[in-house]
Amino acid sequence: MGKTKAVQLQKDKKSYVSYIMIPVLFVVIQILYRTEILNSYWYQILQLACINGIVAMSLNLINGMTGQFSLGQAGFMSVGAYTSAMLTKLVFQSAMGNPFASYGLFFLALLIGAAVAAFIGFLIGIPSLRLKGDYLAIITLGFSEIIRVLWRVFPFSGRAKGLNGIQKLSTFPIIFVAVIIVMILLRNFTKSRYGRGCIAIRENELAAETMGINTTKAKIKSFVFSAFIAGLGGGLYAHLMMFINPEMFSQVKSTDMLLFLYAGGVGSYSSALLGALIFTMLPEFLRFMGEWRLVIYALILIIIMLNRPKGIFGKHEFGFMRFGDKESAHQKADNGGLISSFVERRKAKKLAQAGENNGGAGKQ
Amino acid sequence: MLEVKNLVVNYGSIKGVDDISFHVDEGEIVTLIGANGAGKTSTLRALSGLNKVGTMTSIKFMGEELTKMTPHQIVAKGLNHVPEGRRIFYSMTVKENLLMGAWTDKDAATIKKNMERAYTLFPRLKERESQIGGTLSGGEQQMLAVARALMTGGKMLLLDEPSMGLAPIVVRGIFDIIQELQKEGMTILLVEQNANMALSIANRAYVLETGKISLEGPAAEIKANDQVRKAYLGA
Repeated sequence: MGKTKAVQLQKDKKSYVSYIMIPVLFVVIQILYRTEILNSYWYQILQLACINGIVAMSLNLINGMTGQFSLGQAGFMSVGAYTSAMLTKLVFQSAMGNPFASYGLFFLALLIGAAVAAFIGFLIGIPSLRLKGDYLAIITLGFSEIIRVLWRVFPFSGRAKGLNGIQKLSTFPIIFVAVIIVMILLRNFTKSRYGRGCIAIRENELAAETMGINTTKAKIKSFVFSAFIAGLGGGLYAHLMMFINPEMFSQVKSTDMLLFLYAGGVGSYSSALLGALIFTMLPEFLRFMGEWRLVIYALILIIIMLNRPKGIFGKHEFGFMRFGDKESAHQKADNGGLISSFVERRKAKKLAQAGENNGGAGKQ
Repeated sequence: MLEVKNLVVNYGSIKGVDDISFHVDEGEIVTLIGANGAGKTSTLRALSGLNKVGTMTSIKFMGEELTKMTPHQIVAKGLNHVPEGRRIFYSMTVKENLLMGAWTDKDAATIKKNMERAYTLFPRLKERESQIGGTLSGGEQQMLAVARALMTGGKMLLLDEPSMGLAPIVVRGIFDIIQELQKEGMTILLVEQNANMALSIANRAYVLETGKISLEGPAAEIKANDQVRKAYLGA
């Protein structure tokens, strides 16, 4: 009895710590920025990395949790970006004066942008998610190209020139809060009945069907939600860069998002976020190498994928993203997290050493 | 309980199941036996809505027509399918797998009751509660698949090849549990290649041959039939 209580207390303390960590992290970054240890260039990169993290997490919902392969996350990003940018630039322009009005309308524009992305996700999802297999990958790939071409054609989206003169409304506090909100939303979705259904679909679609899960509905729900969050990320992106053009949302962008997700660790939101943070910043760290940085970047990726096929951080969730029962030893092994595998390797090494000490004579 | 009339399953222009009719009464174990490609699995998939059926087909489960329903609606009616090849959720723990079985159930008390029932039937699963599904042995996975289907709290089970790829002693255990389920009042439609085992526990049997029923009757009678003995029982 006393033991279980102690365990409970420890668990509570842990989640408490991770909630405390969030504001601490925010304050530390702010202090670093104010004292100019973190210059404005890196500050900008950090914000970009956070937005990439949002989109990578949205991709994890559909690729990692539901097991459907989307190749066109940049398409949804562009819908969110263009919609919200057109709203703040063309529609709300006159109403924006004081900071309250402009931020209020900015949030509204972000939400509308995300909702439009979700709606388009819904339109694409209905036909393609009824089918099993790789159709979604093909359709999303096609969609992201179509939408890019459409932005080049429409006069109100600035054609190939794109939209410029967007107000810089995405600030670090807003992006930071958006990341936290998105994490909580995704965590709660995954924890819910529908989320569990999505994981069952990923594991075995036929079995999920025989459990009484409406698989089409569950897949569409998670796809639409994923598109919504990607659209939100796109809106933040437009108001961070202050300029968007169709080429920003090409296939390369979608591939980047996949890269963040798979290098970080597919199947975990926190790994996706960390993957996005690391791999957005890495090319900037390597900038001193000039043109060689892309070679090194690719080399690092290859090494990671060879050594850690489940991603750097594996399927583990960190801090407050972890939910449900405590991971069992089996799950830990299956998740292939960085820390647990490190501990595992040390244990094995120790064991081997002990074995050598005991039976060293016999070996020689 | 289950009344199937003129069941037709087409794969393109090929007839997988060609106009068969059969019925399963409440509390019975009925087995469908036959060689590879006879249409056994196609029949079960049709019953649970996973295969499209012909236009003249009628499948009545407790008086309700199932042919127009989707798989998840059929599960909600109480007809549960344990698909071929176990198909457990690999990265979920045993407990999580069982909870997935209770998907259609929203009442925590019933879920708990069903869970306890599953653990009494399969004490082995209780031992491995926190182990992930993928690391279980073949027999344990099959137990988990059956237990998971029981969690839906349905009235009838469709078992597809529960003996596939298992050691004889493990198969014996699984079949004992099938008999035990019958005693609890469960109705079972069993599809098997292991005709000997299936016939020894079933009440009635149908023999499928290239999509058609070639023989039907009480299991003991079928077992004694010369043709069946030659073709399926190796005697």
